[in-house]
Parts: sequence; C-alpha cells; structure tokens
Amino acid sequence: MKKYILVMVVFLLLLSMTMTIVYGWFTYVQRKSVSTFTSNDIDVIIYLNEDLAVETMDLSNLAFVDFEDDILNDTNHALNDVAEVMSFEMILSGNSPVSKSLITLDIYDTTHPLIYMIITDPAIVDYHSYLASLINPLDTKENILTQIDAHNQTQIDTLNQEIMLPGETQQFKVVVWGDYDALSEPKDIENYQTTLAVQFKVVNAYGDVS
Amino acid sequence: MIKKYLYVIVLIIVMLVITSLSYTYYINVKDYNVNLDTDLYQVQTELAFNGVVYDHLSPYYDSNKNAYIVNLYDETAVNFIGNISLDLFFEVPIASKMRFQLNQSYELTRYYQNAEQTVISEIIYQETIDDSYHPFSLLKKGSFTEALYHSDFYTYAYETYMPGQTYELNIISGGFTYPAKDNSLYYETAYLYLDFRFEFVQANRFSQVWQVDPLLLS
Repeated sequence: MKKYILVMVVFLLLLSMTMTIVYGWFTYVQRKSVSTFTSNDIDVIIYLNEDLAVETMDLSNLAFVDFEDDILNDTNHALNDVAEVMSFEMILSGNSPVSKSLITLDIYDTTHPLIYMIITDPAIVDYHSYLASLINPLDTKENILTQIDAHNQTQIDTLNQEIMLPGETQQFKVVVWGDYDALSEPKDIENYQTTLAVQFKVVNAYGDVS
Repeated sequence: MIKKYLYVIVLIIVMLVITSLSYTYYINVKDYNVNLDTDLYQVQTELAFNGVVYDHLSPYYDSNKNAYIVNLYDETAVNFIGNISLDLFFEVPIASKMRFQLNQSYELTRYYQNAEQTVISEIIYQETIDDSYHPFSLLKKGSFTEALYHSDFYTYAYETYMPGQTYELNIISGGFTYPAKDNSLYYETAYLYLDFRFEFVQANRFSQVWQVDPLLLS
C-alpha cells in the first residue's frame, strides 16, 4: 500500500512539473492555473480586402510613381488613387483564449523598388497627407525611406503588443507604390512582379511569440 | 516489479500527450503570399448606326482616309448622322485619366447639272451648335458629358477612373442633318469622315504625359 501511495505521489509531482514546464514555454508566468490546458484552440480568420485570405493571392493594380512629383508633392493629386491598398483583417474566434500576434512582412525580391507604408488606423484614407506627416520632405531620399521604414516598424510593434480578446478584430493596411526611379533597367513596368509574404503567428496573450 | 514499470510508462505517455496538446492549443501560424504586379488597359470602342456595330471592314469605313463615312443629308441612308452612336467600354488596371479627340472632316460636293457636269468638292467649316453638341461638330453628345474641351482640341474627362469596374461611356448619340441643296442647277452631297482617338494615362502622371496644367481637371 505504501508503495502504491509513493508511486502516486511521484506521478502527481511529475505531472504538475510537466505542466509547469510546458506552460512556461508559452507564458513565462508561473502562477497560471493548470486549467489553461482546457482552453480551446486559437483560431483566427484572415481577410484581405474583404475577401477570405487564401494561401496565394494576386493584386494587379500596382502603380509606379515618381518620388518627387508624386510621393513628395502629389502634383496631380492622385497618389491616393493609384495606391495599391492591402487591407488585412484578423478576427480571433470567440472560443479562442486571449491572444496576441506576431505579424511579419517580407518581400521576396530584396532589391525591390516598392515603397510601402503600414497603417493601423483604418480611418486613414488620405495616404499622401499621412505620409507627409511621417517624413521630412527636405531630407534626402535615402533618409526619407528610412523614416518610412521606422514608421512601419513602429506600427508592426504596436500590432504585436496588442492583446486581443476572443471575437476581437485586428486591422491594418499596407499601402504600396512602385518607385519608378528604383526600378532596375530595363524599366519594364508592364511585366514587373514581386511577392509579399505575410505571416500571422498567434499565441495566447502571455506567450512568447518571438 | 512489472507494475512499477507500468506506472512509469503510463506517466511518460501522459507527459508526452500533455506536452503535445498544450503546444497545439496555444499557437496558430498562417502564411500568405500576395503577388503584386501590373496589368493592362482593356479598351474597346463601338461605332454603330441604328444600334448595329460597324468595324473597319464595313462599307462605311474608308480605309484610305482611315475614317468612318457618315452621311449628313440623306435620312434614308443606313450611315445617316441621325443614326450614329459611339460608345467606349474600358477597364483600367490603376486609377487613370482619359481624354479623346474626334477628328472630323466635313466634305461637301456639288454636282452641277450643266453640259460639263461640273463637280466641286470642298471641306466645310462647322460652327459649334450648342452645348449639347460636340465643339465644331454636327455630332450630338451622348450621355457622357462630364468633360472639358481644351484648346489642344482634346476633350478631357473630369473623372478619375478606378480599377475593378467596367466603364461604358456614350460619346456620340445622333447628330444634326446638313441641309444639302437640290435644285435645277445643282445638287449637293455632304459626308463626314470621322476618326477618333482615346488616350488613357495613370492618374498621377496625366499632367506630365499630356503636358497640361495639373489643376486642369480640378
């Protein structure tokens, strides 16, 4: 009988240790209840421009612009109209635990001529005015592009720190233009193509998403 | 002894199951690829008389002059100006501006009923009739009227056309009859030789490409 009790104690001890270790992988919070293990899968639905996202999607409205005339001055008041806008919407299912995400964007073509801006406020539709508020137009082109990159990283960080409750939605836009001057020779805009890889990694709110 | 090992085995199985389950419960990764590229303009024009479309192979097209032949005086003719319509159908790959030009040549021919059967042909000047007609033309405007007639003889659409939709613009719908004369001395025929040109450019480049004021269409 003593042996049986001893074995059971050892079993329970090991079981609780296992749970703590496993739990530690994802939260780094030691006080979390073992009831965490009974929660449901994290389930998200992703939409791109109001269509359910699929593995590979095509957007064929990329416009090439002039950096000074369009990006800086918007001479023809058309920069907003010619923008290729990707509106992402991520809906956390009502059964999921409180979660957060790690969103990454990569452009396969490392020498791509694209200028893109990440916007987390869905109310912003005047992209030129928004862009103008982020940069110093008197700076060099290289510095301006660095300023845009810094803004994009800030927006991604904001998204990644956001805690989502079950049923909540996270939205962001990626606004893209092609920079004609940055396009490599021959400047064949009719046949230009590149791919943007977007990854959504969603974990429970206190987990490690790195 | 066997029981002891059994406990340990069960314990290991439970640990492995819990470990794997807890992992699947707490992470969800979704990867997407968005292909970005450019597309072409899809543009089609249809010139019709009485709703029947005629192309460059029709008898109402002069391949030497590269122009449609429009009868200005005979109401019974199929290609009578009152029967004409010109429609433009298009889709744009990016936000775009459009302009067009109607190239018109009005040709009047007078046949004298004398012994020599003299024939005199001349190109006649056409005044602008009113706002419901195209400038310097007997051709009546269609339902598309939101445009600016510029001194470079192009007509510029105010609208910026957006991708993702098909546009249909009715440019010409009918026209004014030319009062050809027919008397004991001579009779006249009058024809319009009509050609047209539609141009599109991405909206952010129209002033540079077309060499016009950026505020022209504001």
